[in-house]
Amino acid sequence: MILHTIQTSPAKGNRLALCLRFMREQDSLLLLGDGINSLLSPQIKQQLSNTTLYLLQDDVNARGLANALMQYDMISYEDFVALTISHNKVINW
Amino acid sequence: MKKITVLFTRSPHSTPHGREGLDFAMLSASFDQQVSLIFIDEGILNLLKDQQPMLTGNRDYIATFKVLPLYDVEDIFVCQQDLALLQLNQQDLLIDVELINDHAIQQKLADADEVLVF
Amino acid sequence: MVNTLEFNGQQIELDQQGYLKNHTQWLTDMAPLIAAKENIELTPAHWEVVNFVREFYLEYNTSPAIRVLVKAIGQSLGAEKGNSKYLYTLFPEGPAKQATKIAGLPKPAKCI
Repeated sequence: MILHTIQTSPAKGNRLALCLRFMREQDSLLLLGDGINSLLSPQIKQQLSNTTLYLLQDDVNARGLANALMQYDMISYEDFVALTISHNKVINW
Repeated sequence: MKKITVLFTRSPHSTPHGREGLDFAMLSASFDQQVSLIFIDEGILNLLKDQQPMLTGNRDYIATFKVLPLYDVEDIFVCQQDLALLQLNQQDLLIDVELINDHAIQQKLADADEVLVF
Repeated sequence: MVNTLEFNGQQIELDQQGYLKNHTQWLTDMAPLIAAKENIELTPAHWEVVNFVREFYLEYNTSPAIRVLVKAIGQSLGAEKGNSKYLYTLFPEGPAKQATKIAGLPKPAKCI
């Protein structure tokens, strides 16, 4: 079980696309920083519909996206730490 | 001893990632870690022969990939599909590599203790 | 204070540990001077290693760390030279460290 993290916007590169190519069903995905902007694309939203997905709450709120993304699982920094422990490893793309 | 996988995903020279990935691999190998390298997407371009990075004011770290066997780093993999997408083949590459598919890469990422993306 | 080596009336810049700042400035005749600072008098056996690390650098664009130096020398000059004991006899303060310095090359990373 791997926790994959994406911190960059899809407008800035292909990090998320690469990650999704090599991610497995049992893995999880955490979006933080500008990685959260990925969910503003309907296509990517659709692509991620079957993925175990977390968003870092502070980064969502900081961007004023709390309402737009309220359907997703928001986590605190403490939860983030817990996730890094409950997964075998973290891959930061 | 940890199994460390270094994933090269970006083209060389325009960012420091490729050089840093290689430095990290060599340093890990010096500390007796079991290191493997995987090249995907434009990261494959790090391995192209006949590069002359000095022409654009960059350091030629490409030649240093050849030293890896002396560091006992023998597991060097390139994504078959991405190599083909770039219209390249193994003869275009500076060092001996093993071509593997996406599924095999997934397996290697799962088997590693640590994966670092450059 | 800037660390320099005087050579043929020219000041060659060195880093704080005595390595040439620019390896392309190195000339064969400079080696005995750098070696003298390390209290080493160069014999043909020393030269063999100095030339080896020089060629290694030109081929791989990196200075060999000790383990790699031992292995590479073993592969091309044979096992009686590719071992730390032999190399430490020639370069008592560390073969990788001293041979690269005398050859005008940057200090190897993770150097013993």
